[in-house]
Amino acid sequence: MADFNTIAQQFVEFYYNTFDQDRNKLAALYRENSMLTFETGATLGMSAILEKLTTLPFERVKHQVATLDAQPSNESGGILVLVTGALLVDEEQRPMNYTQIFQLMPDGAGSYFVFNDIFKLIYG
Amino acid sequence: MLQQAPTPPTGPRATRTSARTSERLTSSRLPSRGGIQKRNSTPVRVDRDGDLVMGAAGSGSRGSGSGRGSAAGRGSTQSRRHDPLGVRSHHPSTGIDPSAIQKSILRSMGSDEPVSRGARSSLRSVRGRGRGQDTREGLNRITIKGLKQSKAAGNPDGGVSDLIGFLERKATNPDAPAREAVKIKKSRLEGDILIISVRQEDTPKILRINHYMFAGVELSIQGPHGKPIPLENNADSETPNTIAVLKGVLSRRYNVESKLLDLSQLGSDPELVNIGMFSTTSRESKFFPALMKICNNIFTTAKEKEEAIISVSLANNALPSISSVTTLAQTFPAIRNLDLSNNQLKNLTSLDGWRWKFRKLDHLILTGNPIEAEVPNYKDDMLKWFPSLTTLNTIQIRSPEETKAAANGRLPIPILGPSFRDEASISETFVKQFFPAYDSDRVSLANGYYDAQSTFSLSINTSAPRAPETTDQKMPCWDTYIKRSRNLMKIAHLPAKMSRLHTGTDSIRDAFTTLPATQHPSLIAEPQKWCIECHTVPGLPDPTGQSISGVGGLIVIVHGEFSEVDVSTGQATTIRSFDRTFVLGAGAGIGGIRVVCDTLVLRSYGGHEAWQPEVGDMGGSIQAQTPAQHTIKVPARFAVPGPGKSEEQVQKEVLAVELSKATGMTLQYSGMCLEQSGWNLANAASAFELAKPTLPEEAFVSR
Repeated sequence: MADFNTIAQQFVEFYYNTFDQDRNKLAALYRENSMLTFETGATLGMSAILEKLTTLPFERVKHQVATLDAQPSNESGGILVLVTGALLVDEEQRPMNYTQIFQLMPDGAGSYFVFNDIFKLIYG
Repeated sequence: MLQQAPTPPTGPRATRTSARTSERLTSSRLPSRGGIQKRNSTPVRVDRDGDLVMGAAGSGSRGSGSGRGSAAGRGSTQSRRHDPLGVRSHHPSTGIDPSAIQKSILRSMGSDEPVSRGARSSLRSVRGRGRGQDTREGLNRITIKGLKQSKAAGNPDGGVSDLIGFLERKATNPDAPAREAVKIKKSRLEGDILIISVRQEDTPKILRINHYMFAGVELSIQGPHGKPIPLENNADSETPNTIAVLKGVLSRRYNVESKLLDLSQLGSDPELVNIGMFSTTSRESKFFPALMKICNNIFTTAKEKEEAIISVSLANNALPSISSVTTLAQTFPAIRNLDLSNNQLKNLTSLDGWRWKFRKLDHLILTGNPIEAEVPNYKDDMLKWFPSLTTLNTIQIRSPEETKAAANGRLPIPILGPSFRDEASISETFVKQFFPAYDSDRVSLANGYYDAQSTFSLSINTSAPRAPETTDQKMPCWDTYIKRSRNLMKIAHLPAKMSRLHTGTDSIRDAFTTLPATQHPSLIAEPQKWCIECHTVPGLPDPTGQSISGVGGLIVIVHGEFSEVDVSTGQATTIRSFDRTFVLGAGAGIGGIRVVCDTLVLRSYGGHEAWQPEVGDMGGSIQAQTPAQHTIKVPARFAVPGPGKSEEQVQKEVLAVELSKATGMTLQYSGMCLEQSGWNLANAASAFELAKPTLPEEAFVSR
């Protein structure tokens, strides 16, 4: 089994870099049965998720990851990834803090996709 | 009216011809409409006419008493209007003793301590020329005539940078090494004349360009003038006399009782004009930073400044941009009221230096500026730039509650309520049992819910913000946790990564029992301190071995807080916030479930306001807009994973149940609606609202 720590780290790095540069390219990470929960709004399926992500009400965004933890979550190789960090949006200079939980699943072809993506702002 | 009618410029200024200079700190022909007076700490609503209600200033000057908001809290404001020519008598006011500040100012005025000049370089100093490049010989001043007639004069900075670039290019020998390139060390524009300072060895190279053509005109270059300027001594350094005058101006323009610093109409201040403060652009550009420097010497701490000066008026200064007064934001970052009325601010760029400054600014006045007509939506930008702003041009534009949300930096993503997809209340039951047990008996908890494959890990987020009410306390200590923190952003070695992941009941129990004792708030008595979310998750191993593809489970996400408890005294000590994510699956544990994964993130206490849903802009969430009011009969096995059912189908069924609960539609119609909306719950809810009147009765569950 591939080391889930490495997979989680690579995934998180890729995910946020892509998110911050071109959200359209996140499509590759989702499948038709992926579910995004952004705050409360739930979105199912790659195209709907992409639409949700690309129409979020900001242009420029920068993620700063503070913590990353990962655990194997099932026997077929699923990985639970838990991230906390801060989000800088457009000209807002005060970061917004968030938690994001990814349930990564193997796609059977040697890669992983995002099954659950649960984003929540946690302001202090 | 707060100000007297503007008087024509007198003294040295009257003889000046520079159009450029007169754009700046000069008296305005525009009528004054009132400055800023004191606001009491009690929120005072303002009226909708042109006058301010802060204090009594200007009241009645427009003959309008109607529409005035509550007068509550204005009682202690004694000021009738600001007297710009005298220091008012002291009235004890709320908060601090103003006479102390007055004494402080007077004492400071009496002192001969020279004021070091912070902003030595003129605002027009050539950018990017470090002092390190200077030679020891000093600089020569050279004058260049002709810029005003050139085609470059229409450029944003009047063509100064173009001309400087031109001079440097032409004066530099193209074959010379880069370090010998001619550099213009300083420059300033006075009327039609650009005065530059260059190294002595570069002087002849610049003079050689005399009579060259620049942007359509012939340049006239003369110099050097006077003796070389020693490098670290500014030729026109303010004399002690000037400092005394500035202090006097400050004292006259400071209203003790209303805590107003009235810097309006500076250009017609007789004392400033008399000492030639505005006689050259160079001096003028240094005037405001010098004034702020003196303020910094008088009020040495942020607290003193905040208590002494609540309001600042820069009205009637014909400012084309705030660049010449931008230092105000450094010196008085905490002011509540700012009057910029009757200047020449015409767009957002002219205010840009103050974007996101003045975090406590409550009232901004921009009336009488071209921006009102040229940027009709500037209000929206001001709301973004100044998070505490409630009042613009005396009109309330945002409630204090909305302001608080903005100050918390919440926008632009709205906060929504928790998302809960758990038809059988499994997660609710679990959470209600888990946290009390975690506080009281972790050994039983570990034995009851975790098995040999369960995993637990913990990470510390030390960079999370702290709740405002705790920021004056000492930083929380993480010593007891840090050696267990499995933050993969911080630890690089695989052995550490693995040893901090606790697998199996024994290891988890050991970890639990070595962590500090805790007390979580009651889920029932204090539900507002908790935020719990739940989602389905597929493919968990089936402990009975019956399903090869695995069984469905739940992700439960809990945000909350706890106090550490000193076991010997039973006293609560440090309070912390946490985010804990569980993956629950069917198993042999309590209630037939087991904890598959348990990840805990600890951070400084950040309060629990974060997950109170915002009222208003809900971003299309049906849950937040319409609490689930409709009782839906969900068939057995619907919306739960089962044999032969794809995970996608389960997710769709879950969404259908959610939509039905929110709208009252049957599951079938909810499914159709979601299908058409691309399985986007928010879109489906919007589509439902549109189609609602046309839907047949059968679309709804019987009510």
